[in-house]
Amino acid sequence: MSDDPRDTEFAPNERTTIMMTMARPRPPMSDEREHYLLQVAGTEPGRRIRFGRQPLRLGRRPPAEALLADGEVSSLHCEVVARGSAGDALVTDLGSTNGTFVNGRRVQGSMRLTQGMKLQLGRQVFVHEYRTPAEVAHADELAHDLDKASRYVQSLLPPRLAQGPILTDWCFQPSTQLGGDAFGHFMLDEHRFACYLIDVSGHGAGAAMHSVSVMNVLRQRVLPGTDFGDPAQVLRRLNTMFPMDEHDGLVFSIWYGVFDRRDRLLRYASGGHHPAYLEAPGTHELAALRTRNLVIGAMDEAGFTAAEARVPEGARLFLFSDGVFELHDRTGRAWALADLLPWLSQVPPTDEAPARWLQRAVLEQARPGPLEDDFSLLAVTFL
Amino acid sequence: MEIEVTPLDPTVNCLRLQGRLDAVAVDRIEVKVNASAVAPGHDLLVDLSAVDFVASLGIRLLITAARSLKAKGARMVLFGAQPLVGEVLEHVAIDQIVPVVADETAARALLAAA
Repeated sequence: MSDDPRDTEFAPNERTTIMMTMARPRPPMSDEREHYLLQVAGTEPGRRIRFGRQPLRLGRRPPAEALLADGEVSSLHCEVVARGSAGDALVTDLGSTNGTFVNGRRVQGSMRLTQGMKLQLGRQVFVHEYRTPAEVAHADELAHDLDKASRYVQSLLPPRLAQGPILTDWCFQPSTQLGGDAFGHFMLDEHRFACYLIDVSGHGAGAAMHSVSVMNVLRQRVLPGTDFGDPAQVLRRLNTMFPMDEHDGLVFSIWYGVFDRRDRLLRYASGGHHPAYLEAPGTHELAALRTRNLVIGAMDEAGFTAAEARVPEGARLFLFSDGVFELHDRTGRAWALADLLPWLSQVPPTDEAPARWLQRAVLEQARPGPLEDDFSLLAVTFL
Repeated sequence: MEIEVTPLDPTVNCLRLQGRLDAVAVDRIEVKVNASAVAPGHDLLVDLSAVDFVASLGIRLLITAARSLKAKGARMVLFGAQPLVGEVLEHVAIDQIVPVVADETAARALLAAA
């Protein structure tokens, strides 16, 4: 069947219409490259806008051809058009209020746009692509697979604990490439609460599959002969179970802790991971909790040590992946761990969603655009 | 990210990395590092002084190179890390798998002493 109207014949009789459809081979997909703006952040990530030699206007309302629902975008904001030489395009600001930016630089008049460059209007960010329809179809397929992998990881995350002596809140915002983060928490028994966060060093479906494997081992507690109340032993066993040679060269960092309500001690171990931070109530003081161990999977004979911390009533633990602080702020400056720490102590003590509060606060500081890595953050409040 | 491999003497190469060792850079240089810097019978000094950021994939690249060299009977030493890069190396305790020293002199001395 074809849906081309030229394939339908109409009989010249007003009362009867004979429709005859003819099968004919679908025309082969063109191998000519075309210009696209692929949306990577904003209201419709994944949206692809095609343009050519005819200028295409972007704005908030008609007569702009490509409409963007964003209060920071002007009615007629900018236009893009393909230029003479292959792959070249030109973007022209149409007198917008908030400016048009190419790779972070404000467009004065017109600016050249080539493959891979970022175009930003308000909170909407696009990447310029110059590809064949077949390449676009392939990229869409990959993006779809990543989206499925991301949904799977999210389906395994624990429900937040909103009542009881231990409260949890978390956020998980995967990057477009999916960064291999996973985390969780569970009760070992009526007294002991365990939580962890892992970050596989890699991107894409492979890293996500690895993080899901590790996560499932922890969720089901299926490490042979392992006391899950002993963090060093957990890391040791994971290191034995997931050597990089047998897992496509993948290693991961982990922070794993067990809180016992009877003695109010948090026993923890980390492998290749930056510290988690424990904030005592009313003090704004952060204790860095970390033990100095190698990433998991890098070396068979690696040793793993644990440590413990006393947890006052009302203390709060922040456990997060490096995607939470390895970002660029609005001025383009690269953050490090030290830039995040003041924000941890600013979370209002009574806020019921401290992780999501932090997520908003941090991402407001960050340069708009797609996340470079997964943004995973778990906050645990010990009442 | 730029890389440059220079022979320091017949048995020691120096790999100089420059820029951000992030996911994009690792994708670009991984094959080249393994092809040119991981050579049998050649110890490798890795100069990190011009690296201003290292992501977890960069750590994996360094670990993989160190393991490959070890399997070939050679050694690797990291030197010259800037403070922020040094912080990341410390967090991942990479010195348990590959020594980390302050500068090239210390790196050469370490190879000579072993």
